[in-house]
Amino acid sequence: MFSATLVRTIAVVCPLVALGISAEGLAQGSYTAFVQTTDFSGEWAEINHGVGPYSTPLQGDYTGLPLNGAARMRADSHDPADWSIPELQCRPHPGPFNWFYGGGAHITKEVDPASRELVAYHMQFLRSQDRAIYLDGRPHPPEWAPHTWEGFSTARFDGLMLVVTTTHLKESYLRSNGVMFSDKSRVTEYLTVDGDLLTITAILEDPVYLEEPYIRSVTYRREPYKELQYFPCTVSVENVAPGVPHFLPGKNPYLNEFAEKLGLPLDAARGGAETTYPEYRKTLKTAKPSK
Amino acid sequence: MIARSLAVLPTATLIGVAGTLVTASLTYGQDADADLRVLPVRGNVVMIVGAASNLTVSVGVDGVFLVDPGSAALADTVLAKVREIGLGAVGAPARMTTCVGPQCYAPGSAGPYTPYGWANPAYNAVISSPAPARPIRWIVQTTFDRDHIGATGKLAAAGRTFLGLGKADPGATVFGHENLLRRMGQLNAPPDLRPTETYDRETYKLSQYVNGEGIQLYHAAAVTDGDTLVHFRFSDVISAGDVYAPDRYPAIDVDKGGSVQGVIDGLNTIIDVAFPEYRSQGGTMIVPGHGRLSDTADVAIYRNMVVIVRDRVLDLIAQGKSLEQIKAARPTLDFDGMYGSPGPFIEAVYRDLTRVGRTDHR
Repeated sequence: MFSATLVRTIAVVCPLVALGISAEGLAQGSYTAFVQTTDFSGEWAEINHGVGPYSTPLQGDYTGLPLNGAARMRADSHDPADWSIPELQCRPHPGPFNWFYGGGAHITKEVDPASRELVAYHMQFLRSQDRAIYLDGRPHPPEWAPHTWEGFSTARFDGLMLVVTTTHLKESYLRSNGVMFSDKSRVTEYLTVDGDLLTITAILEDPVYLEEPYIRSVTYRREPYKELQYFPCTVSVENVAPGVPHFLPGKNPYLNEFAEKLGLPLDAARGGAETTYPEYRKTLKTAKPSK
Repeated sequence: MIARSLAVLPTATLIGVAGTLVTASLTYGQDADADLRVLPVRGNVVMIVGAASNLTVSVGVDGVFLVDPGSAALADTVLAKVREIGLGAVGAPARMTTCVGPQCYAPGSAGPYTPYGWANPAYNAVISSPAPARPIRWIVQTTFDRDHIGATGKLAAAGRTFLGLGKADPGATVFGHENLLRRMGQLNAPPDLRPTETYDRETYKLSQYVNGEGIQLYHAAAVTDGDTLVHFRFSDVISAGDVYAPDRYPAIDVDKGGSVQGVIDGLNTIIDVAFPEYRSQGGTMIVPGHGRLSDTADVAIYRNMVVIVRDRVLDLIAQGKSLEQIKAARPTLDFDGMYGSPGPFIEAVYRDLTRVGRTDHR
């Protein structure tokens, strides 16, 4: 014999069961288990059109770079032999530009175990140290804190896009032919995921060497079946550098090779903000190609 | 050990340390009310910034070992800050241990294991009156520049030298290279500014551990001929004085025996002593005379700049250019954005390289 209370209970619960709502769920209320975000963690492999010649440019190839006079002087002094300086031989590609040098990327999430809030992303490239990108609201350190190859990065979500700001970089190369960025640089990266594609757009602001911000982008593909390996570095000759290879101003004999090889006007190869705009094509039409 | 010691610094200091993390920039100056900040470097060693020059402090059970007391205008402020740090060291009931190396560290701890654990001085004050701050016992003068050593008299007077058999002299021991004392004598520097102990070789090891580690001095005839580098061997920190200052060109004082080759040699000494941790980064930390805390790669980058500028000026001299013509040629254009006004540096390099009898440059 059913009691009236039991009948009422069955009358309420049965429709809920039919709707797929458990009594446990009912007891905890109805919550959204996930928040909408973008998960950048995982293994990523670059799509080659984003790297290529930028990693091994000829001397004097400053095309597409908004360099100022100081930057040209610095790059013109570059002797490729300076890659043999033992103290800097094992330096990694500079953090925010590691994307453009290939070798893959490995991104992990650091999550607060109590709150499950995202504290940081950790990025590792083939030749890099760990690059932490903090999302917990911490400020950038004062200027007298150490500068590193990766710099100090914080980030915020703008919708589904991750916006990363990096300061405290050591000076390093923008292009491996001696084009440098300074330790006063600031990099803003915009990361978006579309399916299995990760696109990074990086904007470098450097008051020392650039006339205008320099913008680059590259795309990576998710690689669920690969894992980035440890890639150590050993200095070939351990000791203090016996000298610093460089060319004196006006005495680098290789600066015109790039322009001559491609038949470009020399001015176009020398970079500068003007050369990065579409209007510069008009100038190119009237300019005399290098020999 | 210092990480734990810092954890027990008075609240004001902790606020100061925390404040450093939110300060986007820092203005150096001679203001007596300068806001000095403490940056823990490693082991027993901290870096004090905000004075006219950077200060390096080792603090522990033996007392305070101070590299460069700073400018005279800031003497009281520096003394108060050093005492604050010294008080923190006493507040941590860590004991000395003969164990040396990372194996002495309990997992997850910041310093040598101690059975007493950690307690902060406020807690100690509940159960007993806190001990006085550890005294300043040693001061090293890295160079002859009032920004670095102007406060020597006041800070040394506030310290003590233990003589043994129950005797202690007032005043800390002040180390410096023999050439530094000689230069001070030539310029009639006040007695309380001068070193009380000198060394005349290329390197000098303190005869006993200080705060659990060996300390080694290296002579560098760099911006003057009496410069000293200080290596804290277990903490693995080098206090470089003005031999290395990554926010400016070297302040070479040719009249006091400084030379561009001496600066290069001094920088190479730092690089030679230091180890990178991984991929040309980290490892031995370098406290510069001015500017940011650095590592081996930073010093190498700076060394490269000095070498390149030296070679450019030398080339222009070989072309028969005068000093004014060399300045007009702007041989430092590509570095000025990072190191500031080059005038005095170019002048010093020119004077150095055109001195009669110079043979040590390339």
